[in-house]
Amino acid sequence: MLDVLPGTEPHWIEAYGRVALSGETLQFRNYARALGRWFEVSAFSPRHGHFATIFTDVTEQERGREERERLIAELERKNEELERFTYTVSHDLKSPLITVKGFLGLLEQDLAAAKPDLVRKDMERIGEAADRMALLLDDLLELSRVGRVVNPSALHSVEELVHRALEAVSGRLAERDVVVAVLPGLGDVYGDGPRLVEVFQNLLENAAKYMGEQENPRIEIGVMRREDGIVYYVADNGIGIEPRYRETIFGLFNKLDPRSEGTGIGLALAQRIVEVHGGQIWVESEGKGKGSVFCLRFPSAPRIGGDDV
Amino acid sequence: MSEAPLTILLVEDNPAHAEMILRSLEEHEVANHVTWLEDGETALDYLFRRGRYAEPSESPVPFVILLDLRLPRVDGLQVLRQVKEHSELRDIPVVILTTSEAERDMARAYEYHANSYVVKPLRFDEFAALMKDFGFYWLSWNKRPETEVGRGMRGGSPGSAKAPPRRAGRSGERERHGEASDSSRG
Repeated sequence: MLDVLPGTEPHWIEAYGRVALSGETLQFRNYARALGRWFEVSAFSPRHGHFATIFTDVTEQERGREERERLIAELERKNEELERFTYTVSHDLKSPLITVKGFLGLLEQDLAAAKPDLVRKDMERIGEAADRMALLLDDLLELSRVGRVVNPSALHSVEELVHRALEAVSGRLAERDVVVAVLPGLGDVYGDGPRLVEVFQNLLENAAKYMGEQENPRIEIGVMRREDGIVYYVADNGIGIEPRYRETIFGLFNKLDPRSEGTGIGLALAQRIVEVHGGQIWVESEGKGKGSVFCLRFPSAPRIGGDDV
Repeated sequence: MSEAPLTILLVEDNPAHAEMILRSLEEHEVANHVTWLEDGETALDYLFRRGRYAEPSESPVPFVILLDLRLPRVDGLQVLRQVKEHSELRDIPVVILTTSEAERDMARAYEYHANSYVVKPLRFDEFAALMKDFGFYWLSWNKRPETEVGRGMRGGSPGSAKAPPRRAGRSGERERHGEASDSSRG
């Protein structure tokens, strides 16, 4: 056999030998690494002590199967995401509605009882709830635009993106006297420029918002070259994040501090943009009071387009 | 013998909803003491007497917990689970009061042994009626065994649960534990 097929590995010889001697047929799929192709292998014994084998190239079929499985997994993930989204939206939009209806009821009571102070407060609550609903709807619209409305992709200097983001949040940074250091050597990233600016903008805003009592608030933006690739980071010396909240902070309308301003969309938006770019975003923090480091990784190959919607 | 307060622990992150609940409860004079907490983590601190609630006098065992599901930090289901897994706390009735009508939430709430699951009504007259019914049902009609929790041995005044549950008077206090307290009214 080695004369006909030199280099045949022992387990093949053993398998074919069994076919030749027992008369059983054998059928399996095998990936030939050297050729980079899949084969359907059939072996049978036409005569005792002999074997014949047929190789059928099934590479296309296998690739199709892999692709199908990948797409199914992707669809399942999207479906789950959509379910989560619907759940959040229905809950979060219903809440202000309950407030509006509730305080309309109280308003009626307070009017009947001629309590002008309470009437004024009831109306305030109704107004606030309506404003909140408008804010939630705006944010949702913004989120839905990510991946749907795509600016042309191009290679952008990260430093430039960061500077554009810094300009956009300059007011908030000045308010808290935040010192920002942008370290050199940030390099380039391929993608949707305005959206990438938004990512940095949200991270900067988040860092400024959660400075806590820090007397010398500081944000540093830089790049780390790790074994698994280039990681951009936005680090602050603010209140930090406990390990158990590392995932939840990226959830839509999730806020760790219910009193903080905003709807809690910033990090969800940043995550969505990064994911549409095929990248990852996560936070590293040693815990409460230890500051936070938001990390970003983008794929080295360009990847952004309508298929990610 | 001074009567221990009939405490309702309200865990609700939406200040406007909390205000509606507090006003409705007050109107019907069902509880004389409502402690309002705004997130799940603080609720667990209160119930497990940790941190600022370490002193039993700061955290009387509630007669009933009115719990929202979607809460900051630790969500309502986690609070529920921890309460129901704790031998001394699990007798406390937990009523889920939420905007969620999702099957999944209801199923999980009951799986974690919620005593009741109520969806916040949109109509205010229904909301007010619900709060009234809630108060009377859980504070007057509902009976619990006189467990360690019921007797308040972990810090409440002994024998408090033996006193028949009754309607609280107008003098009842309510308090809010939170980082800010801006919306008390009435």
